[in-house]
Amino acid sequence: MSRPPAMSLLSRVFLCWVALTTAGCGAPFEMSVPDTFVRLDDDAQERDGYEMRSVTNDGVVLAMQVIEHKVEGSLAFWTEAVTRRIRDAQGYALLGTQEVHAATGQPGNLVRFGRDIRGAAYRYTVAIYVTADHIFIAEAGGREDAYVPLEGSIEAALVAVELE
Amino acid sequence: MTNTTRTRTVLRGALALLALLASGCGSASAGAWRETTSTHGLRDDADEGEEGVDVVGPGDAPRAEHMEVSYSIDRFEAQSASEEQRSAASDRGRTAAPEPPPDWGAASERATTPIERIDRLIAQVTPAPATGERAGSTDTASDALAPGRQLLIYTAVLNLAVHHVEDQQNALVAIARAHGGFMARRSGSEVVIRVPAMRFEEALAATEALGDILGRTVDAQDVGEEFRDTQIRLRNLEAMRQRLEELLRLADNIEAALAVEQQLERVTTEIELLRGRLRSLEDRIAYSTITVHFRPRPTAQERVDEFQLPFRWLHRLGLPRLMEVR
Repeated sequence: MSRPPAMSLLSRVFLCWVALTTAGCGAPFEMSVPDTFVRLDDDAQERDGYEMRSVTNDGVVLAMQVIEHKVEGSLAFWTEAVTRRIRDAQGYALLGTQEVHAATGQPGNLVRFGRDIRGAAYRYTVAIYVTADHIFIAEAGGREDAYVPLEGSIEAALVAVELE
Repeated sequence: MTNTTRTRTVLRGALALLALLASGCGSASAGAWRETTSTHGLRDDADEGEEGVDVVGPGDAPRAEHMEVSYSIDRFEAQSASEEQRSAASDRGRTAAPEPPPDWGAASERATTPIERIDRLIAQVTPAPATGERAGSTDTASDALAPGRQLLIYTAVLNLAVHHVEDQQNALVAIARAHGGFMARRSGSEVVIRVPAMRFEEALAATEALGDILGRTVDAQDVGEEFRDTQIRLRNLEAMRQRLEELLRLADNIEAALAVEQQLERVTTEIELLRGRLRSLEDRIAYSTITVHFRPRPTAQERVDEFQLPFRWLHRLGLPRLMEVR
């Protein structure tokens, strides 16, 4: 016995509702990664606290963390907090800070760091954006010899992010 | 003089000296010493700023002999190296042997008299006066002995970010050499360089330009008073030793000789200790120390005092977590 057409219609309506609802709960950003990166499974990354993470064959990683902006702070405050945490507490060298804008116009700061780990030099770059609802932390890092050739495309990706 | 009379004189002298030693003349602080010596009718003209006048009784040795003990400089390498090696032994990282200080031995040979030696030391550590200021004046040993004269030990501890550590350590050694100094210790996370005091600030500025400075402590410790007090105590002990030696020569029985020898040994030990202290001070005055740590926080104390924002996500930042991909 075939399924009545009315059920099929209800099913379609339900599916549309689910699709519309879940679309509203998606990541509040869009980030394109350079061709040399492969995007890792989102579910696994979310369990680690990342909204997105991608890697190259040489171990350079590009990632995005989104933090709910419960305690209101300015971009300058959060940039300073991140910089102090990385530099003072973890011993990274501050290589430079640059004001940037996301592709959607929000102001942000790009902070570049360097650090030796087990005798090898590494680079670590953080782009910080602050909106009313979220703090966006776009990170990239890897061994200096693998990172530096990709630095241009990595920073372009960190800046070309679209934020809601 | 008969033998009996002579022996009595020797013993009286020995007993007087023993009483003097027992009163703590050799080991007391400068203030206590002054009080003691006045009781025994000795004088300390050095305290009044006169050059090379020592506190001794009749039969004083020549002034130059007394000064010599204070300014022998040909000691640097062994003492410095042993100190540094002791520190290095506690360092678990890779450690390089300290370099000998450049020109020190040659300079020591050039300085033929004690007065020349201290003048050279003062010239090394005293900045040149501005044009027209103190024209024609010269720093001398008597200036160094004058109360209130500053003798400064400069030290700096820098905390550099951990990036390109190997290159920066090599650059630090180059900075030390370029400023007439040397590398005293090198390990995985720490380099200690010594530079002539006159070029301390210059070397410090060059060091700070090497990388990202996370912390900086600069200290100038005035050891002028300690230096003078030690010199005075040393000179008195030297004089006392001469007199004890004289008494030993005159002693004609074993008992008296043993008593004098016992005190002679004690005085000699104290003299060596004071000489070592003066050598250490001279070294630290002449050569400033710059210690560079390549680590975020040098001490547990700083970790306790460190303020932490109460946002856990900040602690998730950094390379180790970012690069741990699954």
